[in-house]
Amino acid sequence: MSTAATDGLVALGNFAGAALLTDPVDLVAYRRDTSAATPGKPDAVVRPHTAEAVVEVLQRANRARTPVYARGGATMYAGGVNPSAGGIVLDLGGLNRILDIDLDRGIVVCEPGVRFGALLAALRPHGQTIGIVPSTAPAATIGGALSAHALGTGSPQFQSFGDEVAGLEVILASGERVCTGSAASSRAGYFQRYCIGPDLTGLFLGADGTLGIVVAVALWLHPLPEHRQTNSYGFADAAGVQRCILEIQRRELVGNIWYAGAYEAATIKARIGQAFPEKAQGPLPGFALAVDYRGDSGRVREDEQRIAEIAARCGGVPFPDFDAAYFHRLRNDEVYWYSFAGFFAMSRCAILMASVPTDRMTAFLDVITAQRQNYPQYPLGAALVMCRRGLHGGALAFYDEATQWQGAVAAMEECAGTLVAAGCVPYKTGKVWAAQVKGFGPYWGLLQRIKRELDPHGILSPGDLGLGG
Amino acid sequence: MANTEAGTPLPHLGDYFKDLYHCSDCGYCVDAIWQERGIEHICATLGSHSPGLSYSGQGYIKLARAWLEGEELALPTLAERVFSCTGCGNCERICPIGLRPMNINRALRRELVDRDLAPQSATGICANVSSQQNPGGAPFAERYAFVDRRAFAESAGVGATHQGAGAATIYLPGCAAAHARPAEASAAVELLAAAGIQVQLLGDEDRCCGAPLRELGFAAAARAQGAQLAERLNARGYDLLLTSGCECANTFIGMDRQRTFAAWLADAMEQGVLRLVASTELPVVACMESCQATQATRAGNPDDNAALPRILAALGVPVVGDAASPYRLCCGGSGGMAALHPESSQAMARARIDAVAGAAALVSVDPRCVAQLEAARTADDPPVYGIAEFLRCHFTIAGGAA
Ligand SMILES: Cc1cc2nc3c(=O)[nH]c(=O)nc-3n(C[C@H](O)[C@H](O)[C@H](O)COP(=O)(O)OP(=O)(O)OC[C@H]3O[C@@H](n4cnc5c(N)ncnc54)[C@H](O)[C@@H]3O)c2cc1C
Repeated sequence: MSTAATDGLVALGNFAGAALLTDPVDLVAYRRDTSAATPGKPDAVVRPHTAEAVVEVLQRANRARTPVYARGGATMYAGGVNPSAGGIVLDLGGLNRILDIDLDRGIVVCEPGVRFGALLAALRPHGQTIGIVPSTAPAATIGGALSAHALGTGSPQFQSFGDEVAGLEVILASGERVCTGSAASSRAGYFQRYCIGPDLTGLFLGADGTLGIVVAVALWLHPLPEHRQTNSYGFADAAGVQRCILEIQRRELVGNIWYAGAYEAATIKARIGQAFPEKAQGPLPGFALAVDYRGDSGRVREDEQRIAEIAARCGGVPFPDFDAAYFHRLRNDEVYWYSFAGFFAMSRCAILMASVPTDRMTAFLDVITAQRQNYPQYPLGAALVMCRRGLHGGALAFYDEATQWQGAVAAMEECAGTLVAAGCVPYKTGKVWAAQVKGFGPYWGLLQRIKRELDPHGILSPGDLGLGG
Repeated sequence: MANTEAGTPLPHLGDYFKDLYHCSDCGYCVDAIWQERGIEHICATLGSHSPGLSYSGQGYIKLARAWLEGEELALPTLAERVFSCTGCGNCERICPIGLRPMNINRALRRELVDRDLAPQSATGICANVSSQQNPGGAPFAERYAFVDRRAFAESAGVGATHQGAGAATIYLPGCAAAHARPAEASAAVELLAAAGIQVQLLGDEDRCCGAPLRELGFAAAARAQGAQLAERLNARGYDLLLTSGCECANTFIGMDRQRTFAAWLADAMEQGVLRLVASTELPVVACMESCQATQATRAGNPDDNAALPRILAALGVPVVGDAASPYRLCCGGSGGMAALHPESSQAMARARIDAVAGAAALVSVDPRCVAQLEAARTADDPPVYGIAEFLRCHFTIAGGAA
């Protein structure tokens, strides 16, 4: 790192209470996130507690042309926080205050380092919650989630985390502070995202910290649901599930679905086998669709009835064993643990998350099948999550990090290319999809122009989204 | 890339080789909040000493792996980080895949001890244990000052040798109760006597069980202390061994016929072996969980923190706050923290007290926590008690098996 940046950082050590770490012993733990992406080696870690300190860090880094990588909970599986170009890791965990809960406006404003668990706990006494919650909620931060397009729980109702953001406060590479949405007017504050002109909030959503550092987030509030229940349906094959989801989405029967996932035969067999060994001997469905409803109990019952009819038309039958053996417990008790279970299967897990048009669900699964045949040494799981429109499809490769790391990464790089060829698009891009982003010609061109304008020296997260680095 | 298990230059890490390559960086051991499970935060060191990840469970795993893989690390700096862990075990309880960062920290401590890189305050604890049989260096002669030894010797037998026949219950106060909280030890003895138990005390034969040394990574010295004490206990002979020290109880895990005083008391209350009558208006109590008590559950022992609400419920004492959580932050009394980083340790205790609302008394089953909280308490805070002391202050003995 340049001397100027080092000097600047040492001075920063005393600025606004920001903690500064430069000892190699302290930097070891800031090299990577949960991804299999190549770790980076930071020169320093700064942990500010105020937006003013973030401004100061960015101004100094910008002058010294020092890379800055924003880090929230570092639970992402795309390598976004990995400081591949060295420089500063900006640990935003110290910006962890909930700034305002405005029940009249239906908005909560918080700093980016607030963890989902803390936000949910603070909202509960008000009878409120937020729309999208990742299964890493105890540790994941709001800033990381919006910068990485969080998804999953809440996606059938609300699609993606970005759809739940009412406005942001962002600090650009130059140190300028910008509020987006209605908060661009300091008199108005946060209450409306789409106003004034183009949606500048959207520019920073899913940006992996490449365009600015988010220091405040306004999210829409939703009342806590009165009722919850789960249901599962068994299908002969994936095609039936695909038809069923298409029909549910077309008829917009997603309003009371909090989460819905499609499960492959192997998962079904394993779960039923554990809970009811005798039933696992008999014929089991080839695919399952499991639905977690939440909302007004009367409406949930109506939707459930309609969805049961749709499932039946698509060849699905109620599958209470799967619900009892797995899905209900998963959604109610294990939701924040289970995602990591696979990590023990080998040692770590390389994950690629794609956006999948529902009509390409079987094409997504074909890619997974081919990948399994080509790389049997990295057992692959497929995760399919329903959104309001389309699906999120995850490919999860389990590998032994002591012996198979590089091979697994190469296999997943190939998988990424094949998924795009099959009509899927990168979701949670970070560094693991960087090569594919460059393939989307005009989009890539515009993205680069925006990047040059907002971050002319390319200090923000070089390497993420394929930008710089 | 990775060193193989065989021939590793870091033998103490050998048991944890798999863990080092299984950590997925989920960060739950750094900080996690999950209200439904009573998880408010995870690491007291990160909260009160330094927020740097090198002080976290995840950090210890990373540092161990980097060291194992031959990375150049400044070992004295590493030692400062490694000797800043309270060893509360929260990182292990929260790990979604059952990794053992706290034990990895212990293994790192052992490696550093082997290289004479333990901080001076840690070696000072070692010296205290060896000379005075307690980590704080209080004179050994004062260990049983909590009882009138002569009177007790006549009635119950301080230092009396008990050979086999008849029921013998040995009460071991443990270093914390004996030296830092003698009122708890004396109240415990009173309650045992009231329940008709012929209490034996080891007196001059008593030895530190080695728990503080084990926590610091002086494994061989800890084992030697434990063995010495076990030998003396066996020579004395006992039917039941009771201790007030939760960390001592963890040393005794695996030994027959041993329990904590709190576990015994909970049963005694529920079975009517002891009858107590309130002598004051009962204060609203906040239960201050001990992380050492929670750790016992790993070895299949009951969690003594659960004994406390049982005792209070049996006596109709009002309790404030959520149900006992095994994730409560350490009060800073554990892991040698009070000697290694006194200021941070005090800040941890302060944070623990500040987290309590609406209580008129703070009660713990663990005398070490009681002493630690007391040291951070101000006049505006509620009083802190060990469970036996609390009963002595607010109840009179109405009867027992005696
Ligand atoms: C087993 C497992 C299960 C998962 N399940 C889900 C799930 O159900 N749903 C889901 O959405 N995700 C899931 N994830 C991924 C991840 O946990 C979430 O996306 C989470 O929201 C990321 O938050 P974070 O704070 O950890 O972000 P980080 O990993 O810290 O950061 C993510 C990206 O955002 C950038 N960033 C962070 N903070 C800021 C900021 N303030 N300003 C600008 N840029 C910033 C970082 O540079 C990085 O590029 C899972 C991950 C794993 C390993």
